[in-house]
Amino acid sequence: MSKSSSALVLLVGCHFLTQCAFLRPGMAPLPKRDESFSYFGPGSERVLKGSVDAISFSEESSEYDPSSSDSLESVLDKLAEDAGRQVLLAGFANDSGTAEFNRVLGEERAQAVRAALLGKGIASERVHTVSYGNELDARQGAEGRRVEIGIVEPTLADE
Amino acid sequence: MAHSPLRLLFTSFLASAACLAAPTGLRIESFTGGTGAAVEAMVRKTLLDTGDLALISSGPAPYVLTAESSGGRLQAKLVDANGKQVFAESYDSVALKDNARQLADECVGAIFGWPGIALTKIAFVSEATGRKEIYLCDADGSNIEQLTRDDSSCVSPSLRNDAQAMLFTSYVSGYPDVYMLDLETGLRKRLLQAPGTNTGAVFSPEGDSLALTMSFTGNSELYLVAPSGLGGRRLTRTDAAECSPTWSPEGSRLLYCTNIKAKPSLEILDVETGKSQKLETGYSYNTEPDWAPEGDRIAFTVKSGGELKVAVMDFKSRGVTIVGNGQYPAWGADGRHLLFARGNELVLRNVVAAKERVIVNNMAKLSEPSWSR
Repeated sequence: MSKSSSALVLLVGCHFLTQCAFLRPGMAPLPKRDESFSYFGPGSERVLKGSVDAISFSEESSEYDPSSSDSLESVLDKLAEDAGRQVLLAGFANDSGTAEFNRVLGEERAQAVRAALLGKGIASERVHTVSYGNELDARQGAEGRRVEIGIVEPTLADE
Repeated sequence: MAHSPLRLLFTSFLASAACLAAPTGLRIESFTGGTGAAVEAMVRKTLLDTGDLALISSGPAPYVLTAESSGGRLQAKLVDANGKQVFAESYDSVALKDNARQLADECVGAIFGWPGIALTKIAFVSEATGRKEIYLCDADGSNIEQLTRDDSSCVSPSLRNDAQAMLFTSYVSGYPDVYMLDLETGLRKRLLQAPGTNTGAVFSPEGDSLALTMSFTGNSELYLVAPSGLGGRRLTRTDAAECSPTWSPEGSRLLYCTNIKAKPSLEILDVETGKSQKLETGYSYNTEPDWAPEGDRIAFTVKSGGELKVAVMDFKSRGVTIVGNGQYPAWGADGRHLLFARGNELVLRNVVAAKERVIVNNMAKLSEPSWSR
């Protein structure tokens, strides 16, 4: 090994140890998400909204209405059409509860739809979730309890 | 700041003894010196605002306060009914009002034995700009400062007990991520950006760990994370969704909300063993818990008759009392004051003396206040 490459290995090793020193015993590194697209915010132009009807839920619940099966079929069709497509599920809650609970409830709803898609054989890396709770596009009553479906088209780099 | 268990026990004993007695009286003699009148007015207002002290205008009093304020220097002395000195202190803060607040807190501590709240800070969410942004103010609602300008949604603020740092959730990336803001330097850092939702982060009492909700496994669970945000330990493993953790005063347990079959309930988790226990409240909707600094009570939000109300549970009796309409209760350092949001108002209520004041309004809808201790 040359002198310069040994120095590089030492430098990288030191950097790694410094990073790990921040971790405490029993603490594992946390994953980071793909941020090349989002539902509201940077990269939202890559997300096609409204092509599939939103899925609705009952109060405080993450069990979706049986009437939502058409929407689920429609998502499966769109994913089958193009293997490069992904789906971003955006969970919402209405304003009848408190804010933090609503944010977590929105995530539970999005995760319930995600589980249904994975159960139909969709690969987990193609299904993403986000919860807005009662933030951003908040709506009242039954209309607020929903999961909106965004179809993420592949970029040239993906193909 | 965190207190030792012995001190908490002592404070708790004093608090229970004091609340049985009539309000303790204090006579404030006219402050001398060039800035005396101005500082005296501030001290009077701060002490009256506590709701715990009766100010006696003349004649004998259990306590008598004398002071001189010249320029930025305040020198004060408190004596008891026998003329025996309780304390003599001087204060040299940059602002006169901080001298006044330090003196007021010193009086509260010396007379009652519990910490004063005059120097604490409050962070809260307001929709005044049309978007949710986070603001900071003093404990009396004055000195309001806008902390975030993300033009997205900034929510779930949580101040560290020293009020030098704040955790919050921002949607500016398009996703809910947890950030830390250094309130001294104004620098902010994104700590957590795991797939799914990252929210509800709260500092442990010593500020050396964070508890929060993350959902990257496919279910919302509680995690313990280092303040660097680089490593985490999963605390819950359930099919339900856990959120809104609040630390016990000694930092060994977490009280949180879990959504079991569309019924948000409260549970207590032992951080070391990972064992949790349900807390029965008698209500089917229980969210946003906050653990009182003495550990003896909790406050939370319940839904009753379709309305959100602030409730307090006494651990000893397990009795639940409804404080009034509102949500997002937060205890003050003294364990006597509860701060909560009610529509467009932030309400500060002395739950022992049953007195309340609106400290912030005219800023559109307000929510999720956090109070340093």
